[in-house]
Order: sequence, then structure tokens, then C-alpha cells
Amino acid sequence: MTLVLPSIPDIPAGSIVTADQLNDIGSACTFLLNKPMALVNDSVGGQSVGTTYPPTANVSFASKNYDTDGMWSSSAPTKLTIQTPGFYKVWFTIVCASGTPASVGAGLWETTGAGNPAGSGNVIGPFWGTYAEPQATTGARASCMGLWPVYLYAGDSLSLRAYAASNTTTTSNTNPSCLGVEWVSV
Amino acid sequence: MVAIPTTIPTFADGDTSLANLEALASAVQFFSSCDVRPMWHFYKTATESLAAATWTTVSYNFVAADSDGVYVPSGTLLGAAQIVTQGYYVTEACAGILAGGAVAGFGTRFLAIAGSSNPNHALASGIVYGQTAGLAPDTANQDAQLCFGSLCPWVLYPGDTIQAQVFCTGAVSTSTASNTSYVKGRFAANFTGYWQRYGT
Repeated sequence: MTLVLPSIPDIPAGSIVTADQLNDIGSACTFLLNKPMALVNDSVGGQSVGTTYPPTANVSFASKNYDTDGMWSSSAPTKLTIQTPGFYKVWFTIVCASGTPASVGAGLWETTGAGNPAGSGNVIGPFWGTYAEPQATTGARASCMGLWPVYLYAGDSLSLRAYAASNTTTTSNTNPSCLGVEWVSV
Repeated sequence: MVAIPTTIPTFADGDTSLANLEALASAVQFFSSCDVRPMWHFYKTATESLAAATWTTVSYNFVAADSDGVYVPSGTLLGAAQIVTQGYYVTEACAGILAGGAVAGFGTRFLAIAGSSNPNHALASGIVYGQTAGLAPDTANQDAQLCFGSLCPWVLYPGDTIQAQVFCTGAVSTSTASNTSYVKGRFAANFTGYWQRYGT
């Protein structure tokens, strides 16, 4: 599903407002009421987190909390693929087991799709990196959030990649690793 | 409660309905103004003792903004937000601990708890989200702060609550950010949340 981006009418002074113009404003409100959002999580855990930087493996998200615009697919669970173009805000958390022996870090990468004027297959990032040092009781959980700095076109995708000072794995619990996005602007 | 404009009016040629026009104006106001759309911003201006190895709700005690009346002003949930308007929400917070304690591990998280109006989750059931945790910095000599934020995994309903919580492996006090130096207390302890989107 691709939502139709709103078109705000220009209504000059002295003009007679048409029904179409008012309905365009209404469509913009409807868009905002139903704007694209997704939150997916690593409900399985046990994914390897290696020591190579930059990491090349994408964290897989086996479950979705919600996905209002068809960005997540169970057949391609390692990314969120943009359906409706725009600027997006992003959130993510990487969670490793309490026994994690070394620090972990993570960041978001973008892969451009066919709809991007720069062409498909370009990898951009990382943006919004984060880091945590493990502790025996708390484990290592690192979160991050921010506005994705590049305009996203339909077909572009975002993926979470993690790395560690020594090999470890993600863990699944009541608050697993997750990736979320929210459309914020045309 | 804020009236969510779930039904956006449509107009026909020659439409003279003032009610439709007002409904459209209300919808635009809802989406363009945080004075109307639910949003809160709480601060903490007093320190607070934290027991060791216990998740403690941060008692944010100063309300800078609260367009929907969600602030919980007293009781065990002091400083939490009790949802008034249904929808998807985002929460962001910053919490810190004062220097001087023997703290090995330090974490923060959000805890959402279902109220009686939530049709999707049992009363008093909860979900943790946005958790950050790990080895604390040199807390013997400097304050430590964590900023955390996330989409709430649930659609929230009136009566549901969201708490920002702190965990420390040792007993210590929360910091309030006096901003007296670059190194110490440069983050203000605060808790922000906002309505994102309609949902069921």
C-alpha cells in the first residue's frame, strides 16, 4: 500500500473556494490520521553479532508490532522498505544477552531502491549509531532515535546492523531488539 | 479528552455546510497544534532516592506542557502519564543518577500498563519498551545520564499509563541536571510524549 501524499491547495485572496480545494485539505488530514508507521522486533533472538566494522549483516526482525503501510515483510524481515516517500523519524534498540562479554554498537543503514533518483543498490550510512558496555545484571541494551537525514523514496529500505568487541548474539525477551519508523514530512 | 478527527468531512460543489467547514478547521488545528493534539513534557527538579536493583518510576514533578491532562500528580505513579486520548504514541525521556554511588549497572526504560478501557490487553498487564542499559560510567566521580525514546508497541487507550523508569545496581539518587558545568548534569531529566496517529 502506498498512501497518496497530500496536496495542499493554494487559495489566493478573493478567489471562490471550490469543493475540490476543501477536499484536498481534508485528504491531507486523512493522510496524517493514517500516516505510515512501523515497529518490528527480534522476537526470536540468537542472531550472531560479529566483530567486523562496518558490519554487513542486517538484524532480522521476525515479528511486527504494527505496520500501517506494508513496510515489513515476513519474507524479507531484515529491512523496512519505504512505500510512501518522505522524511522519516527512526528508532531502534539492539539487545544482547546478559552474559555478553564485550561492548556492542549498532547503527542504521539505507539501501536505495529503484524509485530513488540516485539509482538502486546504493548503501548510505550509518546514521544514528549507538553503543553500550555490558554489565552482568543489565546486559547490554543500546537505543537510538532521530530524524533520518536523507529523503526516502518508495523502494528505499532501512536496516539495523550491529557489531561487538567480541562475538555475541542478540537475545529475545520482553523488550527485544526493535526498529521503528514514522513518516514526518513530504 | 481531545476529540480525534476520525471522520474528515467531504465537500460537494456548492456546499454551504458551516458544520463541515468547522470540522475541517478542527481537523487542521488538531494536526498542526500541540496545544490541541496530545503532547506532554515533564521535568524533574528534585532528587529522588533509588533502591538498588529495582526498577523505579522517575517522579517527574514539574509540568512544562500537558495539552491533554495526562500528568499523574501523586501516588505511586507520580510523574507518569495516564493516557486520555486513544492512539499510537511516542515517548522520549532523559534520566540521570548523581555521582558518589557505587553503581555498576545503569538502565532506563518505559513501562506501559493497560487500564480498564484497553480492549487489546488485560487490565494491569504491561509492556516494557525503549530500554537502554549497560555498564555505568565512572559514577564515583561524575553524574550519569541516559536519554531514551521509542514508539510504544501498543495502541494506547484512556486509562493506560506510561512510566519512565530507572534501574541501578546500587542505591543512589537521581540527578536533576543543574547545568552548572559541561560535564555534570548537562542533561535535564525530562519525559516527553506525544500522540502520533489514530489506531485501534
